[in-house]
Amino acid sequence: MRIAIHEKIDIGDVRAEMDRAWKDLLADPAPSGFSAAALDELRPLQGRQVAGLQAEGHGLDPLTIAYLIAFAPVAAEIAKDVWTNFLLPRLRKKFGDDAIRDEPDRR
Amino acid sequence: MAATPRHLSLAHRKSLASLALTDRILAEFHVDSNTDPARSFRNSLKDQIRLNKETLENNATPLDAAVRWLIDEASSTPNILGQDEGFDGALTAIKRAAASLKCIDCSGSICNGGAADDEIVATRGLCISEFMAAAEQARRASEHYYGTYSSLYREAGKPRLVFSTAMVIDRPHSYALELEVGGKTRFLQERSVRGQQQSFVPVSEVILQTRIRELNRSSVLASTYVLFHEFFCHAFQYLHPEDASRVELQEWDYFSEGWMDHLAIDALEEICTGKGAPDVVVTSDQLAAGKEVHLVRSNPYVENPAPHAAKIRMGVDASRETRRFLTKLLGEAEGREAYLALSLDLNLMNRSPEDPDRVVEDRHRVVNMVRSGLTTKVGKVEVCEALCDYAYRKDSLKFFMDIKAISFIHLSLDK
Repeated sequence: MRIAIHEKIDIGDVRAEMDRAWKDLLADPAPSGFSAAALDELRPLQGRQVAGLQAEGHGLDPLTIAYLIAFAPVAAEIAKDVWTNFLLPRLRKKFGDDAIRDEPDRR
Repeated sequence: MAATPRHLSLAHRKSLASLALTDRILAEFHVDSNTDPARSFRNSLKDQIRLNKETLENNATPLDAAVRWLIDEASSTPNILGQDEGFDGALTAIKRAAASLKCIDCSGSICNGGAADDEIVATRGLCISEFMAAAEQARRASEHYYGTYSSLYREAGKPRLVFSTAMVIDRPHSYALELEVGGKTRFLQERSVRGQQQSFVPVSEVILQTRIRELNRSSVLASTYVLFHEFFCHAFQYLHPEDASRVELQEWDYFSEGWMDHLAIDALEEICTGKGAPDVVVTSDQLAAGKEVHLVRSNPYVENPAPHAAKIRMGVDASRETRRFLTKLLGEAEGREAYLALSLDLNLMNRSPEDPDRVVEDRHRVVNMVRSGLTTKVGKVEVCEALCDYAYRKDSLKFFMDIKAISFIHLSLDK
Protein backbone atom coordinates (compact mmCIF):
# COMPACT_ATOMS: atom_id res chain seq x y z
CA MET A 1 0.00 0.00 0.00
CA ARG A 2 1.35 3.44 -0.88
CA ILE A 3 0.51 6.80 0.60
CA ALA A 4 1.68 10.36 0.10
CA ILE A 5 2.30 12.68 3.02
CA HIS A 6 1.97 16.46 2.65
CA GLU A 7 5.33 18.18 2.73
CA LYS A 8 4.26 20.40 5.63
CA ILE A 9 3.95 17.33 7.87
CA ASP A 10 6.97 16.08 9.79
CA ILE A 11 7.29 12.30 9.42
CA GLY A 12 8.68 12.10 12.97
CA ASP A 13 5.43 13.63 14.26
CA VAL A 14 3.46 11.10 12.22
CA ARG A 15 5.40 8.17 13.67
CA ALA A 16 5.06 9.52 17.22
CA GLU A 17 1.30 9.92 16.74
CA MET A 18 1.06 6.36 15.41
CA ASP A 19 2.72 5.09 18.60
CA ARG A 20 0.38 7.16 20.80
CA ALA A 21 -2.68 6.03 18.87
CA TRP A 22 -1.68 2.38 19.10
CA LYS A 23 -1.13 2.66 22.87
CA ASP A 24 -4.58 4.26 23.20
CA LEU A 25 -6.16 1.44 21.19
CA LEU A 26 -4.56 -1.24 23.35
CA ALA A 27 -5.54 0.57 26.53
CA ASP A 28 -9.18 0.75 25.42
CA PRO A 29 -11.10 -2.05 27.20
CA ALA A 30 -13.73 -2.14 24.44
CA PRO A 31 -12.09 -0.92 21.23
CA SER A 32 -14.73 -0.06 18.67
CA GLY A 33 -14.52 -2.23 15.54
CA PHE A 34 -11.77 -4.60 16.79
CA SER A 35 -11.87 -7.61 19.06
CA ALA A 36 -9.32 -7.74 21.88
CA ALA A 37 -8.33 -11.24 20.69
CA ALA A 38 -7.57 -9.95 17.21
CA LEU A 39 -5.32 -7.25 18.62
CA ASP A 40 -3.49 -9.62 20.97
CA GLU A 41 -1.11 -10.89 18.32
CA LEU A 42 0.03 -7.37 17.60
CA ARG A 43 0.15 -6.31 21.24
CA PRO A 44 3.97 -6.47 21.69
CA LEU A 45 4.51 -4.10 18.75
CA GLN A 46 4.66 -0.31 18.54
CA GLY A 47 2.29 1.55 16.24
CA ARG A 48 5.05 2.22 13.73
CA GLN A 49 5.75 -1.53 13.62
CA VAL A 50 2.10 -2.41 13.07
CA ALA A 51 2.21 -0.26 9.95
CA GLY A 52 5.72 0.90 9.12
CA LEU A 53 6.35 3.88 6.86
CA GLN A 54 9.22 3.51 4.40
CA ALA A 55 10.15 6.58 2.37
CA GLU A 56 9.91 5.99 -1.35
CA GLY A 57 10.64 9.40 -2.86
CA HIS A 58 8.45 12.18 -4.08
CA GLY A 59 4.78 11.70 -4.74
CA LEU A 60 2.79 12.66 -7.77
CA ASP A 61 3.03 16.35 -7.02
CA PRO A 62 5.84 18.35 -5.41
CA LEU A 63 3.84 18.91 -2.21
CA THR A 64 3.87 15.27 -1.17
CA ILE A 65 6.40 12.62 -0.28
CA ALA A 66 5.49 9.02 -1.03
CA TYR A 67 5.73 6.25 1.54
CA LEU A 68 5.27 2.56 1.33
CA ILE A 69 3.40 1.03 4.24
CA ALA A 70 4.82 -2.24 5.45
CA PHE A 71 2.43 -4.13 7.68
CA ALA A 72 3.60 -6.28 10.57
CA PRO A 73 4.33 -9.77 9.17
CA VAL A 74 2.37 -11.29 12.06
CA ALA A 75 -1.40 -10.90 11.55
CA ALA A 76 -0.93 -8.65 8.54
CA GLU A 77 -4.65 -8.57 7.76
CA ILE A 78 -5.45 -7.25 11.24
CA ALA A 79 -2.59 -4.76 10.95
CA LYS A 80 -4.04 -3.57 7.64
CA ASP A 81 -7.46 -3.22 9.24
CA VAL A 82 -5.96 -1.25 12.14
CA TRP A 83 -4.23 1.05 9.67
CA THR A 84 -7.32 1.66 7.51
CA ASN A 85 -9.94 1.97 10.21
CA PHE A 86 -8.02 3.41 13.13
CA LEU A 87 -4.52 4.78 12.51
CA LEU A 88 -5.20 6.56 9.22
CA PRO A 89 -8.41 8.35 10.40
CA ARG A 90 -6.60 9.39 13.57
CA LEU A 91 -3.60 10.75 11.62
CA ARG A 92 -5.89 12.67 9.27
CA LYS A 93 -7.81 14.10 12.20
CA LYS A 94 -4.62 15.43 13.79
CA PHE A 95 -2.64 16.52 10.73
CA GLY A 96 -5.42 17.33 8.25
CA ASP A 97 -7.84 15.57 5.93
CA ASP A 98 -5.42 16.22 3.06
CA ALA A 99 -2.26 15.39 5.04
CA ILE A 100 -2.15 11.75 3.96
CA ARG A 101 -3.37 10.65 0.58
CA ASP A 102 -3.70 7.19 -0.91
CA GLU A 103 -1.38 6.73 -3.87
CA PRO A 104 -1.97 4.18 -6.60
CA ASP A 105 0.29 1.14 -6.37
CA ARG A 106 3.19 1.05 -8.80
CA ARG A 107 2.81 -1.40 -11.63
CA MET B 1 -18.91 -0.69 10.68
CA ALA B 2 -21.63 1.93 11.31
CA ALA B 3 -21.06 5.33 9.74
CA THR B 4 -20.63 7.76 12.60
CA PRO B 5 -19.92 11.48 12.45
CA ARG B 6 -16.26 12.45 12.64
CA HIS B 7 -15.27 15.85 13.88
CA LEU B 8 -12.30 18.14 14.29
CA SER B 9 -9.90 17.13 17.04
CA LEU B 10 -10.24 18.77 20.45
CA ALA B 11 -7.09 20.84 19.85
CA HIS B 12 -8.40 22.11 16.50
CA ARG B 13 -11.79 22.92 18.01
CA LYS B 14 -10.12 24.99 20.76
CA SER B 15 -8.50 27.12 18.04
CA LEU B 16 -11.59 27.30 15.87
CA ALA B 17 -13.93 28.22 18.74
CA SER B 18 -11.74 31.15 19.84
CA LEU B 19 -11.36 32.51 16.29
CA ALA B 20 -15.01 32.03 15.32
CA LEU B 21 -16.24 33.62 18.56
CA THR B 22 -13.95 36.62 18.00
CA ASP B 23 -15.04 37.13 14.40
CA ARG B 24 -18.72 36.74 15.21
CA ILE B 25 -18.61 39.41 17.89
CA LEU B 26 -16.47 41.80 15.83
CA ALA B 27 -19.12 41.50 13.11
CA GLU B 28 -21.95 42.08 15.60
CA PHE B 29 -20.19 45.27 16.71
CA HIS B 30 -19.60 46.26 13.05
CA VAL B 31 -15.85 46.27 13.60
CA ASP B 32 -13.85 45.57 10.43
CA SER B 33 -11.44 42.78 11.34
CA ASN B 34 -8.91 44.02 8.78
CA THR B 35 -8.35 47.37 10.45
CA ASP B 36 -6.35 48.14 13.60
CA PRO B 37 -6.74 47.31 16.45
CA ALA B 38 -8.98 44.36 15.51
CA ARG B 39 -6.32 43.05 13.14
CA SER B 40 -3.66 43.22 15.89
CA PHE B 41 -5.94 41.29 18.23
CA ARG B 42 -6.71 38.61 15.64
CA ASN B 43 -3.05 38.26 14.69
CA SER B 44 -2.13 37.93 18.33
CA LEU B 45 -4.79 35.25 18.77
CA LYS B 46 -3.44 33.34 15.77
CA ASP B 47 0.11 33.66 17.17
CA GLN B 48 -1.06 32.24 20.48
CA ILE B 49 -2.58 29.30 18.64
CA ARG B 50 0.59 28.72 16.60
CA LEU B 51 3.01 29.11 19.52
CA ASN B 52 1.02 27.05 22.01
CA LYS B 53 0.35 23.98 19.92
CA GLU B 54 1.44 21.62 22.68
CA THR B 55 -0.65 23.40 25.32
CA LEU B 56 -3.72 23.16 23.07
CA GLU B 57 -3.01 19.48 22.42
CA ASN B 58 -3.11 18.79 26.14
CA ASN B 59 -6.44 17.00 26.30
CA ALA B 60 -6.61 17.40 30.08
CA THR B 61 -7.45 21.09 29.55
CA PRO B 62 -11.10 21.35 28.53
CA LEU B 63 -12.06 23.45 25.54
CA ASP B 64 -13.82 26.21 27.48
CA ALA B 65 -10.75 26.85 29.66
CA ALA B 66 -8.47 26.86 26.62
CA VAL B 67 -10.67 29.38 24.78
CA ARG B 68 -10.73 31.70 27.81
CA TRP B 69 -6.95 31.41 28.13
CA LEU B 70 -6.36 32.15 24.43
CA ILE B 71 -8.64 35.19 24.50
CA ASP B 72 -7.01 36.47 27.70
CA GLU B 73 -3.53 36.07 26.23
CA ALA B 74 -4.50 37.85 23.01
CA SER B 75 -6.21 40.63 25.01
CA SER B 76 -2.90 41.53 26.61
CA THR B 77 -1.55 42.67 23.22
CA PRO B 78 -0.11 46.17 23.76
CA ASN B 79 -1.87 49.26 22.36
CA ILE B 80 -5.11 47.65 21.29
CA LEU B 81 -7.35 49.45 23.77
CA GLY B 82 -8.32 53.12 23.62
CA GLN B 83 -7.91 53.47 19.85
CA ASP B 84 -11.37 52.54 18.66
CA GLU B 85 -14.48 52.72 20.82
CA GLY B 86 -16.23 50.06 18.76
CA PHE B 87 -13.37 47.62 19.18
CA ASP B 88 -13.11 48.29 22.93
CA GLY B 89 -16.78 47.36 23.31
CA ALA B 90 -16.33 44.31 21.12
CA LEU B 91 -13.35 43.11 23.14
CA THR B 92 -15.35 43.33 26.35
CA ALA B 93 -18.09 41.27 24.67
CA ILE B 94 -15.54 38.73 23.34
CA LYS B 95 -14.17 38.23 26.85
CA ARG B 96 -17.69 37.91 28.24
CA ALA B 97 -18.65 35.36 25.57
CA ALA B 98 -15.49 33.35 26.23
CA ALA B 99 -16.24 33.37 29.95
CA SER B 100 -19.80 32.20 29.39
CA LEU B 101 -18.80 29.32 27.07
CA LYS B 102 -19.26 26.21 29.22
CA CYS B 103 -18.55 22.74 27.87
CA ILE B 104 -20.89 21.26 30.49
CA ASP B 105 -23.80 23.15 28.86
CA CYS B 106 -23.10 21.37 25.56
CA SER B 107 -24.04 17.69 25.68
CA GLY B 108 -23.66 16.92 29.35
CA SER B 109 -20.25 15.27 28.82
CA ILE B 110 -16.97 17.09 28.39
CA CYS B 111 -14.61 16.27 25.53
CA ASN B 112 -11.24 14.83 26.56
CA GLY B 113 -9.72 14.01 23.19
CA GLY B 114 -10.97 10.42 23.37
CA ALA B 115 -13.12 8.29 21.13
CA ALA B 116 -16.36 9.64 22.65
CA ASP B 117 -15.65 13.22 21.54
CA ASP B 118 -17.17 12.83 18.07
CA GLU B 119 -20.49 11.76 19.56
CA ILE B 120 -20.45 14.60 22.10
CA VAL B 121 -19.83 17.13 19.31
CA ALA B 122 -22.47 15.53 17.07
CA THR B 123 -25.09 15.81 19.83
CA ARG B 124 -24.79 19.57 20.12
CA GLY B 125 -21.31 20.88 19.31
CA LEU B 126 -21.36 24.29 21.03
CA CYS B 127 -17.69 24.81 20.09
CA ILE B 128 -18.54 24.60 16.36
CA SER B 129 -22.08 25.89 16.77
CA GLU B 130 -22.23 27.95 13.56
CA PHE B 131 -21.13 24.97 11.44
CA MET B 132 -23.58 22.69 13.25
CA ALA B 133 -26.40 25.18 12.68
CA ALA B 134 -25.51 25.54 8.99
CA ALA B 135 -25.54 21.75 8.56
CA GLU B 136 -28.89 21.50 10.29
CA GLN B 137 -30.33 24.24 8.05
CA ALA B 138 -29.06 22.46 4.92
CA ARG B 139 -30.21 19.02 6.05
CA ARG B 140 -33.73 20.17 6.95
CA ALA B 141 -34.09 22.27 3.83
CA SER B 142 -32.91 19.51 1.48
CA GLU B 143 -35.14 16.90 3.14
CA HIS B 144 -38.09 19.29 2.80
CA TYR B 145 -37.45 19.98 -0.89
CA TYR B 146 -36.85 16.34 -1.88
CA GLY B 147 -39.75 15.15 0.30
CA THR B 148 -42.18 17.76 -1.05
CA TYR B 149 -41.33 18.09 -4.74
CA SER B 150 -39.58 14.95 -6.01
CA SER B 151 -41.85 12.15 -7.17
CA LEU B 152 -38.97 9.66 -7.45
CA TYR B 153 -37.93 10.35 -3.86
CA ARG B 154 -41.04 8.53 -2.63
CA GLU B 155 -39.76 5.33 -4.21
CA ALA B 156 -36.06 5.96 -3.57
CA GLY B 157 -33.98 4.56 -0.72
CA LYS B 158 -33.89 7.15 2.06
CA PRO B 159 -30.33 8.01 2.96
CA ARG B 160 -29.02 8.39 6.47
CA LEU B 161 -27.39 11.81 6.51
CA VAL B 162 -24.23 12.20 8.58
CA PHE B 163 -22.46 15.51 9.12
CA SER B 164 -18.71 15.59 9.80
CA THR B 165 -16.06 18.28 10.04
CA ALA B 166 -12.39 18.04 9.09
CA MET B 167 -9.30 20.23 9.10
CA VAL B 168 -7.32 20.65 5.89
CA ILE B 169 -3.82 22.02 5.25
CA ASP B 170 -4.47 23.45 1.78
CA ARG B 171 -7.39 25.66 0.77
CA PRO B 172 -10.06 23.14 -0.26
CA HIS B 173 -10.82 24.79 -3.63
CA SER B 174 -9.12 26.85 -6.30
CA TYR B 175 -11.50 29.81 -6.57
CA ALA B 176 -10.09 33.32 -6.44
CA LEU B 177 -11.66 33.90 -3.05
CA GLU B 178 -10.50 33.96 0.56
CA LEU B 179 -12.85 31.10 1.25
CA GLU B 180 -11.41 28.81 3.90
CA VAL B 181 -14.13 26.17 3.86
CA GLY B 182 -15.03 23.47 1.38
CA GLY B 183 -17.33 20.50 1.27
CA LYS B 184 -17.35 16.94 0.08
CA THR B 185 -19.82 14.06 0.30
CA ARG B 186 -18.93 10.40 0.70
CA PHE B 187 -21.31 7.58 -0.19
CA LEU B 188 -21.32 4.72 2.30
CA GLN B 189 -23.54 1.76 3.03
CA GLU B 190 -24.68 0.46 6.38
CA ARG B 191 -25.78 -3.12 6.87
CA SER B 192 -29.14 -3.53 8.51
CA VAL B 193 -30.27 -6.95 9.74
CA ARG B 194 -33.90 -7.64 10.60
CA GLY B 195 -34.56 -11.26 11.48
CA GLN B 196 -33.23 -13.34 8.58
CA GLN B 197 -33.30 -10.41 6.23
CA GLN B 198 -30.25 -8.32 5.50
CA SER B 199 -30.37 -5.00 3.70
CA PHE B 200 -28.11 -2.04 3.08
CA VAL B 201 -29.01 1.51 4.03
CA PRO B 202 -27.42 4.24 1.91
CA VAL B 203 -25.44 6.75 3.95
CA SER B 204 -24.28 10.16 2.77
CA GLU B 205 -21.52 11.65 4.88
CA VAL B 206 -21.29 15.39 4.26
CA ILE B 207 -17.91 16.72 5.36
CA LEU B 208 -17.23 20.41 5.94
CA GLN B 209 -13.51 21.02 5.53
CA THR B 210 -11.83 24.09 6.97
CA ARG B 211 -8.43 25.72 7.30
CA ILE B 212 -8.66 26.72 10.91
CA ARG B 213 -5.98 29.35 11.47
CA GLU B 214 -6.96 31.15 8.25
CA LEU B 215 -10.68 31.07 9.05
CA ASN B 216 -12.53 34.37 8.55
CA ARG B 217 -16.08 35.61 9.05
CA SER B 218 -17.10 35.40 5.40
CA SER B 219 -16.03 31.74 5.28
CA VAL B 220 -18.16 30.91 8.32
CA LEU B 221 -21.12 32.67 6.68
CA ALA B 222 -20.48 30.95 3.32
CA SER B 223 -20.43 27.53 5.00
CA THR B 224 -24.26 27.58 4.80
CA TYR B 225 -24.12 27.75 1.00
CA VAL B 226 -21.31 25.16 0.87
CA LEU B 227 -23.48 22.79 2.91
CA PHE B 228 -26.62 23.58 0.87
CA HIS B 229 -24.57 22.59 -2.18
CA GLU B 230 -23.47 19.31 -0.59
CA PHE B 231 -26.91 18.35 0.71
CA PHE B 232 -28.97 19.42 -2.34
CA CYS B 233 -26.49 18.41 -5.05
CA HIS B 234 -24.80 15.30 -3.61
CA ALA B 235 -26.34 13.82 -0.46
CA PHE B 236 -29.39 12.55 -2.38
CA GLN B 237 -27.64 11.60 -5.60
CA TYR B 238 -28.16 8.18 -7.20
CA LEU B 239 -30.81 6.92 -4.78
CA HIS B 240 -33.32 5.75 -7.40
CA PRO B 241 -33.84 2.89 -8.02
CA GLU B 242 -33.33 1.82 -4.44
CA ASP B 243 -31.60 -1.51 -5.11
CA ALA B 244 -28.74 -0.10 -7.17
CA SER B 245 -25.54 0.63 -5.31
CA ARG B 246 -24.12 4.12 -5.35
CA VAL B 247 -20.63 4.43 -6.71
CA GLU B 248 -18.32 7.38 -6.00
CA LEU B 249 -18.31 9.57 -9.05
CA GLN B 250 -15.17 9.32 -11.18
CA GLU B 251 -16.17 11.84 -13.77
CA TRP B 252 -16.67 15.49 -13.00
CA ASP B 253 -20.41 16.13 -13.25
CA TYR B 254 -21.61 19.52 -14.36
CA PHE B 255 -25.26 18.64 -13.94
CA SER B 256 -24.80 18.41 -10.17
CA GLU B 257 -22.14 21.16 -10.06
CA GLY B 258 -24.04 23.60 -12.27
CA TRP B 259 -27.74 22.85 -12.68
CA MET B 260 -28.22 21.61 -9.13
CA ASP B 261 -25.98 24.30 -7.67
CA HIS B 262 -28.29 26.89 -9.20
CA LEU B 263 -31.21 25.12 -7.52
CA ALA B 264 -29.30 25.13 -4.20
CA ILE B 265 -28.63 28.88 -4.31
CA ASP B 266 -32.25 29.49 -5.37
CA ALA B 267 -33.43 27.43 -2.39
CA LEU B 268 -31.14 29.42 -0.09
CA GLU B 269 -32.68 32.63 -1.41
CA GLU B 270 -36.27 31.33 -1.14
CA ILE B 271 -35.66 30.29 2.45
CA CYS B 272 -34.00 33.60 3.28
CA THR B 273 -37.10 35.41 2.05
CA GLY B 274 -39.40 33.10 4.02
CA LYS B 275 -40.81 31.21 1.02
CA GLY B 276 -38.81 27.98 0.97
CA ALA B 277 -38.98 25.56 3.85
CA PRO B 278 -40.84 26.02 7.12
CA ASP B 279 -38.74 26.12 10.30
CA VAL B 280 -35.51 26.84 8.41
CA VAL B 281 -34.04 30.30 8.78
CA VAL B 282 -31.25 31.70 6.60
CA THR B 283 -29.92 35.21 7.25
CA SER B 284 -29.24 37.76 4.53
CA ASP B 285 -25.52 37.68 5.48
CA GLN B 286 -25.39 33.92 4.86
CA LEU B 287 -27.19 34.39 1.54
CA ALA B 288 -24.85 37.21 0.42
CA ALA B 289 -21.73 35.18 1.32
CA GLY B 290 -23.14 32.17 -0.53
CA LYS B 291 -24.05 34.16 -3.63
CA GLU B 292 -20.53 35.54 -3.85
CA VAL B 293 -19.05 32.03 -3.91
CA HIS B 294 -21.70 30.76 -6.33
CA LEU B 295 -21.00 33.62 -8.75
CA VAL B 296 -17.21 33.19 -8.67
CA ARG B 297 -17.31 29.43 -9.20
CA SER B 298 -19.72 29.76 -12.12
CA ASN B 299 -18.22 32.80 -13.85
CA PRO B 300 -15.79 31.97 -16.66
CA TYR B 301 -15.23 35.65 -17.47
CA VAL B 302 -13.30 36.72 -14.34
CA GLU B 303 -9.51 37.12 -14.43
CA ASN B 304 -8.72 33.75 -12.85
CA PRO B 305 -11.83 31.65 -13.41
CA ALA B 306 -12.38 28.51 -11.38
CA PRO B 307 -11.55 25.29 -13.19
CA HIS B 308 -14.68 24.05 -14.94
CA ALA B 309 -16.32 27.50 -14.50
CA ALA B 310 -17.50 27.44 -18.13
CA LYS B 311 -19.13 24.05 -17.68
CA ILE B 312 -20.65 25.02 -14.35
CA ARG B 313 -22.04 28.09 -16.11
CA MET B 314 -23.67 25.89 -18.77
CA GLY B 315 -25.41 23.92 -16.02
CA VAL B 316 -26.46 27.10 -14.22
CA ASP B 317 -27.84 28.64 -17.44
CA ALA B 318 -29.77 25.48 -18.33
CA SER B 319 -31.23 25.30 -14.83
CA ARG B 320 -32.27 28.97 -14.75
CA GLU B 321 -33.76 28.87 -18.24
CA THR B 322 -35.72 25.71 -17.45
CA ARG B 323 -37.26 27.37 -14.42
CA ARG B 324 -38.04 30.48 -16.49
CA PHE B 325 -39.59 28.39 -19.29
CA LEU B 326 -41.77 26.32 -16.94
CA THR B 327 -42.84 29.41 -15.00
CA LYS B 328 -43.87 31.15 -18.21
CA LEU B 329 -45.78 28.07 -19.28
CA LEU B 330 -47.48 27.14 -16.02
CA GLY B 331 -47.40 30.28 -13.89
CA GLU B 332 -45.15 31.14 -10.93
CA ALA B 333 -46.20 28.54 -8.36
CA GLU B 334 -46.80 25.55 -10.62
CA GLY B 335 -43.79 26.32 -12.80
CA ARG B 336 -41.56 26.43 -9.73
CA GLU B 337 -42.90 23.09 -8.54
CA ALA B 338 -42.40 21.50 -11.96
CA TYR B 339 -38.83 22.81 -12.15
CA LEU B 340 -38.02 21.53 -8.67
CA ALA B 341 -39.56 18.12 -9.37
CA LEU B 342 -37.69 17.72 -12.65
CA SER B 343 -34.32 18.79 -11.21
CA LEU B 344 -34.52 16.78 -8.00
CA ASP B 345 -35.72 13.68 -9.90
CA LEU B 346 -32.87 13.91 -12.40
CA ASN B 347 -30.39 14.23 -9.54
CA LEU B 348 -31.81 11.15 -7.79
CA MET B 349 -31.47 8.87 -10.80
CA ASN B 350 -28.86 6.20 -10.38
CA ARG B 351 -26.36 5.03 -12.89
CA SER B 352 -26.43 1.63 -14.46
CA PRO B 353 -24.00 -0.69 -12.64
CA GLU B 354 -22.87 -2.00 -16.05
CA ASP B 355 -22.09 1.45 -17.35
CA PRO B 356 -21.60 3.73 -14.34
CA ASP B 357 -20.62 6.86 -16.24
CA ARG B 358 -23.55 6.61 -18.61
CA VAL B 359 -26.12 8.59 -16.67
CA VAL B 360 -23.57 11.34 -16.09
CA GLU B 361 -22.94 11.57 -19.83
CA ASP B 362 -26.69 11.50 -20.44
CA ARG B 363 -27.26 14.27 -17.94
CA HIS B 364 -24.55 16.34 -19.59
CA ARG B 365 -26.42 15.92 -22.85
CA VAL B 366 -29.61 17.08 -21.11
CA VAL B 367 -27.77 20.18 -19.88
CA ASN B 368 -26.39 20.92 -23.33
CA MET B 369 -29.68 20.34 -25.12
CA VAL B 370 -31.79 22.35 -22.72
CA ARG B 371 -29.29 25.18 -22.68
CA SER B 372 -28.98 25.36 -26.45
CA GLY B 373 -32.74 24.98 -26.80
CA LEU B 374 -33.66 27.69 -24.34
CA THR B 375 -30.84 30.23 -24.45
CA THR B 376 -30.08 30.59 -28.14
CA LYS B 377 -32.18 32.55 -30.57
CA VAL B 378 -32.42 29.49 -32.77
CA GLY B 379 -34.32 27.72 -30.01
CA LYS B 380 -34.70 24.04 -30.66
CA VAL B 381 -38.37 23.31 -31.04
CA GLU B 382 -38.00 19.69 -29.91
CA VAL B 383 -36.49 20.72 -26.57
CA CYS B 384 -39.34 23.14 -25.90
CA GLU B 385 -41.83 20.46 -26.90
CA ALA B 386 -40.22 17.92 -24.58
CA LEU B 387 -40.33 20.45 -21.73
CA CYS B 388 -43.98 21.30 -22.51
CA ASP B 389 -44.81 17.62 -22.55
CA TYR B 390 -43.02 17.20 -19.22
CA ALA B 391 -44.85 20.19 -17.74
CA TYR B 392 -48.23 18.52 -18.27
CA ARG B 393 -47.26 14.90 -17.57
CA LYS B 394 -44.74 15.58 -14.74
CA ASP B 395 -42.91 12.44 -15.76
CA SER B 396 -39.18 13.07 -15.29
CA LEU B 397 -38.14 9.65 -16.55
CA LYS B 398 -40.02 10.20 -19.80
CA PHE B 399 -38.52 13.67 -20.18
CA PHE B 400 -35.05 12.24 -19.62
CA MET B 401 -35.60 9.61 -22.29
CA ASP B 402 -37.12 12.15 -24.75
CA ILE B 403 -34.29 14.61 -24.37
CA LYS B 404 -31.71 11.83 -24.71
CA ALA B 405 -33.40 10.69 -27.92
CA ILE B 406 -33.45 14.27 -29.24
CA SER B 407 -29.77 14.72 -28.45
CA PHE B 408 -28.93 11.52 -30.33
CA ILE B 409 -30.83 12.80 -33.36
CA HIS B 410 -28.98 16.11 -33.23
CA LEU B 411 -25.63 14.40 -32.75
CA SER B 412 -26.23 12.15 -35.75
CA LEU B 413 -27.37 15.14 -37.87
CA ASP B 414 -24.23 17.04 -36.91
CA LYS B 415 -21.99 14.25 -38.24
